[in-house]
Formats: sequence, C-alpha cells, structure tokens
Amino acid sequence: MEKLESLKTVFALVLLSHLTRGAFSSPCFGASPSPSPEIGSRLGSPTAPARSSLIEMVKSSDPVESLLNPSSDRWQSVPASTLPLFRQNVVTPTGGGSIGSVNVRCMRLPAGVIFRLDWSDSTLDNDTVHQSRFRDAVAIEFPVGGAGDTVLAMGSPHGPVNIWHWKADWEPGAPVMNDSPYMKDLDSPTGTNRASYYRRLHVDSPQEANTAQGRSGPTSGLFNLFPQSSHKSPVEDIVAVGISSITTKPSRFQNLQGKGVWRDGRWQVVVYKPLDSKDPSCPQFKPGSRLNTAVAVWNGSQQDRNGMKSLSNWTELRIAK
Amino acid sequence: MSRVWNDQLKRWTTYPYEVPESYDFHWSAVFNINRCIACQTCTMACKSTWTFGKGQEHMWWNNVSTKPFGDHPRGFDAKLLSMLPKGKTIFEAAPEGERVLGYIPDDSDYDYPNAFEDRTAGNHIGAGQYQEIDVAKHKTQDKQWFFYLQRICNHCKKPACLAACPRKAIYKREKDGIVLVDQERCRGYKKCIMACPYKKTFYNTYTKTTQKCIGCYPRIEQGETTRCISACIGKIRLLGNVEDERSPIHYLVHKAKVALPLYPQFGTEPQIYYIPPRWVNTKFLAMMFGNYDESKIKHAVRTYANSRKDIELLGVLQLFGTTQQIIGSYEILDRSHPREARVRAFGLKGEELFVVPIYPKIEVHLAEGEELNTDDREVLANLDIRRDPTEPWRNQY
Repeated sequence: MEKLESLKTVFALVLLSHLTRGAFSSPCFGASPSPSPEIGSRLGSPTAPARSSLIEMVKSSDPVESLLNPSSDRWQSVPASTLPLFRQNVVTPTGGGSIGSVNVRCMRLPAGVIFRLDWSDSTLDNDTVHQSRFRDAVAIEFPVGGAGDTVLAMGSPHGPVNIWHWKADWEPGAPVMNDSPYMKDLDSPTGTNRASYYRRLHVDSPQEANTAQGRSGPTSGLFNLFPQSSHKSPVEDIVAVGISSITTKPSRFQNLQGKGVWRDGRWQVVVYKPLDSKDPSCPQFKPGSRLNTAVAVWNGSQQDRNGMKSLSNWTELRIAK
Repeated sequence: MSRVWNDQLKRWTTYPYEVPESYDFHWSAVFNINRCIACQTCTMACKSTWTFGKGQEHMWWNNVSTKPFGDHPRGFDAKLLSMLPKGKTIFEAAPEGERVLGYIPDDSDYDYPNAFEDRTAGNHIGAGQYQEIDVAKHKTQDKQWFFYLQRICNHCKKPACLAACPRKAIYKREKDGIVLVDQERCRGYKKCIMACPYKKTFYNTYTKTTQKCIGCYPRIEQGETTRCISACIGKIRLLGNVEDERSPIHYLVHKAKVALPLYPQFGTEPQIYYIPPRWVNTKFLAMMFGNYDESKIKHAVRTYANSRKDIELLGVLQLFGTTQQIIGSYEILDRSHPREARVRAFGLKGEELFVVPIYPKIEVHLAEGEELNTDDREVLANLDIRRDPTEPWRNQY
C-alpha cells in the first residue's frame, strides 16, 4: 500500500515536473538549486552554462581512450549543461541535497556515447571498508527505449529505466582493508602474510582469492558485483522498474567504462557506453533524436546512499544529427 | 505504515508492511539464563560453521556477554534506550524521512566482543575481597550481581532490518519465520545495520553486503536445532514452534509465562525468550525483559524458583539440550506419582524422540547425627520418601 501511495505521489510530481519543465519548483523538493558560479570559468568553456533544461550531445570522432581522461583538454570545448540538484524528499528514506548542481557534457562517438560529469564535493569518499563510511557516486538515468517519459524515481513497471552508476570505491586504488586503522587484510595478494588462514581453507593462490570461485562466505557463487575486490569497471549498468527494484544487468551487458578523478574539491567523472543493439534496455542515441535524462549525485561524507541523494529533474537530451 | 498488533506489548503499533496474523510454524527459542556459564561453546559452534570467511572477522552471530555492562557491539542497548522515547517503539519513534529509529555503530564498537566479562553491578569487588551476602536483607537478590546474556538474531515478527531495507533484499520466510538477507540483492546500504535494535546484522567488509544469523535454516529444514543450541553444553537452550500450543516453547512463554522477550519495548516482537536470572535486581530485569513491568519479572522468577513443585514446568525444563531434533510436543507420564514421573518428547512429525525421568533418583548420604537442611526437606517432602530401616545412615529417595 505504502509503495502504491508513494508511486502515486511520484506520478503526480512527474506530471508537475513536465508541466513546469525548466522552472520546476515543487514544495516537495526543499533545497533550492545553487549552481556554482565558477564552473564555466574553471574549464574555460566557450559556452558558459546557465541553469539548463537541455543537454546537447555533440558529435565527435575522437578516440575513446583520450576522452576517458576526464581532465582531457578536449572536454573543454564541449558545451556544458548545469543541472540543478534537489534533495530526494519523495521516497523514504529521504536525504541528499548537499550537492547543488552537476555539470554534464556528452558526445556521440561512432561506436558509443560518452558523458562527463563534474560537481563540487569538498571531501573524497571512496572507502566502503569502514562500516560508518559511504561512497561518493553519480548516476545517469534514461527511460528504456529512450523517448518515452516515465517515473523519475526508478521508473515504473510500464516504463523501465536504465541507470549507469559510477562508484568512487570501484575505482582502482580505492581503500581496501589494508588502509584501515582497525582492520588489516592479511590475505591480500600484496600482503606479507603468506600463511593465510583463508587461503588454506579455500583457495591455493592469492590470484584465486580474488576470483568469484575463490571467495569464501555466503556470496560465493552468486551474481553480485559488490563483493569483487577489483572491479572490471567503476560503472555498473542497472535496470529498474520502480522503487526498490534496481537490478544489476547480467554480466554480458556490463560493458560500461569509466574514470573518476577527484581534485581540488571537485569530482570529474567520465562514463562511456559502447552501443550494443543486443541490449534491449539501453537507449540507442540515434542522431537527431531526443530523450529524457536525469542525474543523481551521492555525497559519501553526508552518508548518502540508496535514495538519499541529490537528484535532477528529467532533462531533455538532444543528440546532434 | 500499517497498523499491526504487537502481542508482547499488547497494543496496536505501526509497521511499514502488513504482517501475517499467525504462522503455522515460527522459529523461536527459550534461553535459560540461570544455567549459562558463558563457556562460549555456542559462539564458537556458530563461528566455525557460518562466519569463518574473509570480511566476517568481526561478526558474532551468536555471542554471550556479561550484563549489566558488556555486549557486542559495545553499549548497543544502552545507546538505543537513551534515544528511544518511553512508550514508543522504534517504528513509532522513527525520525522524519526514516522508517526506523536507530544508529550505525562505530567500527571500533566491534573490537572487544567480551568486554566487561564477569564484571559485577553494585560495589566493585577488588582483588582479595569477597562478596558479602546479607541473606536477611537480600533474600534472593544479591547486592553485587552479574549475569550472562546469550544473544543471536531474534528473527523478529516485525523485523526492523526488513522494514528499513530500501532494496527489499531482506525477507521473512512464511514457512518458519526465519529472516534472511538476499546476498544477490543486497547493495550494502547498511540501513538494516542502523535499524536492527539488537545490532545482529553485520556489514561484511569484503563482500560489501550485510550478513546475519540465518537461524541455521538448512538444519531446521531437516528437523534439527541450530548449531548454537545443539552445541550448548549447559543445556540452557530449547528451540521450537512458539505458535503450536503443544510445543514446550509455547508452554514456557504463554502458559507458565516463565520466559520473556529481550527488550520488547523496541517493538519488533523478538522470538528469543529468556528465563530471567533469579539473583538479579528486578528493576533492571524489568527494563530488559518486562517492558518496565516488574510484575512480569517477579512472576517469571517465582515460577522458575518453584519449578521443583511444578511437575509440568520441571518436565519441560528436562527437555533442554536433550536432543538435536526439534521437539514438537511433549507429554508428562505418571503425573500423579512424582517419583515415577517422566516426560516424553515428540518430534515435529509426532514421532517419539525420548523419555526422561523428571525427578532423578536421589541418594542422600548423611553423617551420623546430621539432619537434612530446610531446602532439602522441602524437595524431598514432595517425593514419596521411604527410609530404609536396615541402613539408617543411608536414606535412599
């Protein structure tokens, strides 16, 4: 019942958001947008962004490898849109609101699409070893199929959404147990303890200790990307059909690439999606078409996780011809 | 929010979901605190079965701590009690934007699982000192006291972990009420860790998911008791179906009312019931087991202390730790002849498991001129005593 009620609320909000697109101000979203004034100048963008209700996807044939560096100069010539972000006040648990805005740049490449997102966050949070700490993260959301409108909050059974979720602790170099003042990973492949209790119990080599087969404990043999100590990519590909429903796509569709850099109180994150027509849940970004996009940012130092996040409204994404 | 009946608080409360009115079988257990010696055999049985893996080092799905000061994670209950407004459950007291009132313990709170072991309440007893018991003044309760508290997941009827999970990764099985975390759906949001008032959900630092006591469901499905219960050398634990009127658990909880839930005021309807220790301050026990109602504690302690006169209660107490099978029902045999009385236990399918005597055969060896003391006389007065005239020094009962 509660889910139905909240879905009704979400539907009402989405309807409201479409009626007032670009000037969205619902009492349910408490925080007022506060885009940082320095964003345009920092990157020297030729089109200093105002608050945007539109994202332009430009065409490019640059190699993906160079664009996967979020600090690449090439990104400075791409027009940026600044999306105001709001505290998530619709679904319990509520939260977020500490990140005021996010800049979005994107390009249509011959074989895929690439997004660059940057936002101001004074703390780097990529430690999920400690129980009381949480990660910084960012996600881009699209309605499955691309053009249709659906519920902003995780879609609906009739309008599923596709979400690309970058996580700071999935980047190479994020703290593992070795960095903890409380916990030492004696079983680490780089550790000095070669007489490991776990290795003798379960696996024969340190390499094997990091494979799904070598993992001990209740998650071994199950499909859950979180337990992997070294992730193939920091970006997870997700589908959702409503609140509480987000589900990791099967591994054959997990082809997102990404890179996040935190410098001077700012996250810069690049997410690349090679387009795969076999993946029915991924928008195809056809040149000349439009689709809805939304962005959410999690601030780990504010204990943001799950629905506790700063999120944008649906924003139109225009793909260049 | 749904309106749900809390049978332990005897009032309507709120809960985020609708809950079943009853179960055919609900996993539950009675722990007799009076018998526990804190040998931690249960703890190690659990650890070596379920939590020996990487990232589970700090997890104690079963732990035995010394009350009033100890527990794991450190001070979890005192902290929540100080946060909880009296008369409200953790669901009713949930802050704005949350479903449950709670907190996430600090990592260091897990560092000393058995802190304050054997530390007494009351005046500290230093080295070389001993405890004075003023029998006249403190008839049954000691000035200095402590007791052991055995804790596992309570597999609550209104689980706070389940209520708080935004992923719906936690579920309660209809067939036995066991609460489980789906390790494929869990994304490590730690909402359940914040919500569980007993702090029996744990964050696995390696898999980045929550893991908790699984009620030894693979054993339950075979009709066997859990590892912690079957390994208990003090025979303090009994597992069964609290929903079934024929079950010894149902008898202890609902008929004799000798076993009480831990912190019922939290409002989750926990399904581990404790026989409170006889020697401990009633007020303290009322806070822990009685929802601040001292009469419940007094009744339970009095009933337990007089169990030697209650053949059914004494019979049920003989069932503890006698078998690894789950006892579904029992019957008292030869009730009218205490010397011959026995208790027969049946399994879940009605099969006979065992028969044990309720009063063991007692031999009292008295020195010449020595008399039975008052306590012994009271016990023996209930029995059919025959002295052997040929050997006056050897009285066999």
